[in-house]
Amino acid sequence: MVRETLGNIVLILTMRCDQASRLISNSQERQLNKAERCALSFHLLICRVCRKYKRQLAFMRNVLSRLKEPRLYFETGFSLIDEEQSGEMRGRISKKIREKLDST
Amino acid sequence: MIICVSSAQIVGIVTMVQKAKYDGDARENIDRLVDQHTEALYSYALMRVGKPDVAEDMVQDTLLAALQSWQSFAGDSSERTWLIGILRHKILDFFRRNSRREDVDDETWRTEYFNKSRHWKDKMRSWKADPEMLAEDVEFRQVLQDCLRELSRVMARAFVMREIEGFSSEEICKHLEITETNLWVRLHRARLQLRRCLELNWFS
Repeated sequence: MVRETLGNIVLILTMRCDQASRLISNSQERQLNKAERCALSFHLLICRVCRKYKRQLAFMRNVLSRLKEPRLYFETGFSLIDEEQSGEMRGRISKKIREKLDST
Repeated sequence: MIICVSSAQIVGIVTMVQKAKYDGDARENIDRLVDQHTEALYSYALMRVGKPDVAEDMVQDTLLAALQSWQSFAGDSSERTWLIGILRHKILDFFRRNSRREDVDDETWRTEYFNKSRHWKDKMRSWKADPEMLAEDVEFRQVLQDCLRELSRVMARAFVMREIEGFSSEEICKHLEITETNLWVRLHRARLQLRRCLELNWFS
């Protein structure tokens, strides 16, 4: 018990931004244990940059999760290819599909 | 005149007729499918796999698979949903290939992002934007795509499966055959890198 408490205190006192950033990331994946939660909360209290990092990760997750939506690719005019390249690609693809359908 | 045909012949004829019909239907649809869906499917794939040649092959394979099973498309979901379903399978297969042998170097991130006293090297800005509007923003998605592409393959696969496709940690570990600890390291590093890239290229 004493050793555990001591361990927690050491973790709190030695926590720096590198460790904190890892815990912030991990907290999006798993429940942090009590000592980790304690140490991270304390660090966030005193560190403005890590608070910002935490907010930004939440923000990134929010935006990225929206990209699953097929609509975003079909309806919003989003294209990672320009018109000329797209025409060429469509030509290549139709040609190859015809060849493959013919050979089966 | 009496025409005698065995049941085997009837089956043969019926199959031939069916094949002709199927071929006809599929072929009539090649140009329309390719014209209508190539760009969207390509962008969808490229956002996730980051390699133009791989993405193009995937689009081609997806459309081919669709045409080959044309008649099993019941039409109860939209064509687009059906195609995306096929494409996603191909993307996940691609992610799985050889992923086991890839190791992550655990410690370089410390010196890359933190100084000797273990504080952030980066100055961080406040990001002021509405996530919903940003996801719809075509230019932002282009920047995001470029940033995702900068991630190493090891990180990118895990990150895309987690953040874009929304799989659970457990599902990803099973699919990529990696441990959870390994996954967390990958995600952590991917987040550090993507954050920096987005800030430099969009939020400043």
